[in-house]
Amino acid sequence: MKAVKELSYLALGLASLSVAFSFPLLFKGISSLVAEKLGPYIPPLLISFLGFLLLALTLFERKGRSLSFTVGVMSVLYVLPYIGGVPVGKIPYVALSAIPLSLAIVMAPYLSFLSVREKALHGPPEAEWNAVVREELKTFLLSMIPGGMLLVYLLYSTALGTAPFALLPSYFLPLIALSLGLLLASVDRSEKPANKTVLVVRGHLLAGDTFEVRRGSIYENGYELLLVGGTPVRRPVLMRIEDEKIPEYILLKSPWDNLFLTKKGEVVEGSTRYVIFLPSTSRAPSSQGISSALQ
Amino acid sequence: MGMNWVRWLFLFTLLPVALAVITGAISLSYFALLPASVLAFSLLFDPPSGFSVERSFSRTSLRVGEEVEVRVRLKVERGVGSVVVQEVVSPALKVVEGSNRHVFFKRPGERFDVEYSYRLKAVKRGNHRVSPVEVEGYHFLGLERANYALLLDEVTLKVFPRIPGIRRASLRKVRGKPGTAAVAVTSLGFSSTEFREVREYRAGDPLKAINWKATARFNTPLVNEYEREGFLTVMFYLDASDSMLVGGLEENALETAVGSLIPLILHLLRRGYRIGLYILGHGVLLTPVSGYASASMFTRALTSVGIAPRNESLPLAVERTRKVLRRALPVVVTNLKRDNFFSIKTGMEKLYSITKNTPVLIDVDIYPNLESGELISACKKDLREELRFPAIRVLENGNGAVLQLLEVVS
Repeated sequence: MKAVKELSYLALGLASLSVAFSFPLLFKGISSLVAEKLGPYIPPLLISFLGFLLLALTLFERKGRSLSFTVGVMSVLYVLPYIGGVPVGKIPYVALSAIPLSLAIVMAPYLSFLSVREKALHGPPEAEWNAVVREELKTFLLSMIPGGMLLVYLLYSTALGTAPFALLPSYFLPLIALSLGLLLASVDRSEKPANKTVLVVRGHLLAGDTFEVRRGSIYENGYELLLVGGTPVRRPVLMRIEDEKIPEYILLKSPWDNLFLTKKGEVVEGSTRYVIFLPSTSRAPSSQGISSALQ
Repeated sequence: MGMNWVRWLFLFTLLPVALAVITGAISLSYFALLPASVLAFSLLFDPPSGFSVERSFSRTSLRVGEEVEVRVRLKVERGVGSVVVQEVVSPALKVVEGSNRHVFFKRPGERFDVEYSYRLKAVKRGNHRVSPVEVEGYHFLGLERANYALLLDEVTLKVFPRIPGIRRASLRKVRGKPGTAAVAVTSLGFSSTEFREVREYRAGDPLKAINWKATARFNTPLVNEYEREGFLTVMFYLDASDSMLVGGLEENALETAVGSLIPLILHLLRRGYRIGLYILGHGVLLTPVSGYASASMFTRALTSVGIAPRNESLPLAVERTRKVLRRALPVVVTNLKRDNFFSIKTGMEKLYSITKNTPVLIDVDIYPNLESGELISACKKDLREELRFPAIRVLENGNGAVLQLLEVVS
């Protein structure tokens, strides 16, 4: 998705900007050296920003690292001077410089989540996906507003973080916010018991384009579903079977192919319990590759 | 996917706090507010749930090439996030307009109600399924497990083949001279009152033919068989082996064969012939019957026939249908190739020896439509000549062959 890619670059730019702020002394020297040797004066902040952006882009694009990893590396670089013993007071605008990074930090995993989901859920029209992503980003930004407003207030009240409140242990604020969120979330848990069970059979196999479903052999923990008839074609199959007895596996059997489905999860929606059967990728216990089979 | 995201948010909520504690720069802890705010906000909302769906089809019975409109109305009661809705359709139904997969966004606080439609075009005959409606609701930040529902029952669309009309003008030449019967008359046709034997019930036998006493005694359905006289019996052998799959899913030899057979059988039934059908590979036998009332039985069998999972040789099929063959005109419908030539030839010789009627071969040849198929088509011509039985070549449009066969029958 184009929007996700562009936002990924934006996140990298923001992270690089913060890191550029935390290395003022190093790049001041480089800037002076450039001015002395080559003539033109290039601001140290610009040099460091471009340098770190190049590093971030190399990791993300050339090395194929994930956005979260790249932003993680930039975060480590950001705190390196502090951990290395550089006095915080010597770094200008320390609180302000953290704003871009904190935005990038929140954006990175979310954008990674969007790209992973896009790969997992392909099919709907591209325009709809883009509209949904736009709506999600809006909601995402909306979720930042309360925290952002509080942040602006704190920065304003503390002269951009240079004079933090001494009495209020402000680092407890997020913990308080978090606890409040968890409390509110736990209140809304009133699940009704399911009174109907539906088996969801989902798979992709070589079966007839037009088939009839029949029950085949019944085993101890599962049974066969026969897909009879039609002209063979590789096709998706999605069926619902209302059955209170939940098998451990279902064997989808067409005259041309077999598919072994195992229970992959349960979801309760309304008063219905959906038990989802998906193709199994595991091997049989007797497989040579499984150590217990060799004993 | 969701759990990683939660871990990230927790981590980045705590990291600035830890940094503030380590460095002593208390103001750094302010930046935990953004991830904490996102986390708190997202925990307030569940993934979309409370799905309900209404679905309607403009029709459920159509012919190949025709379209059907599907309208779906989706309602979501609660939650915030994306809602993916989809239906799985048979590969024999092509989505020609709209889409059967959609994704929407359910905003906080609003009741979501959307309606969409799409059009399906039937590209092949058969009873094609449209699955139940699958709805998935994803949390807008992927924090929680998705909600899932599979609603409504699946719908079967009955797709009948395109039946080419047999032109009246063309039929005139097979009607016979004025004053004579329009159809061939043989000593085998409608049942007479002359009893022949009691035999096992076969699909297509009329209920009135059941011998109830014998059925009760042997505990298996038995019918009285009478000597037959009247119109000619035509026994069709339709090959459904994988050799008929040539040409792909939509336009293959079996489709062409079925598309030619249905109008032919309907026409013959309308004109009083007795018609029987055996589908090779499936072992489906429709005992010869007469009367247009039995037309649906043939169309049903032919509409649902697919490629057989096992091949069955023609001689074996003849052996299995020997009882219904006496003095019938056998018609074999297949895709004649070098590898089945011997089997077809042997089978047709066997048919001749049983029926004393010269069997007719309908050779489905769709190779001219395929790339480099002309050469194979020429080989098939040689094979038909080598066969030394009357053979009719059926191309994609089998109308001409239908008329040729009518001439042979008459």
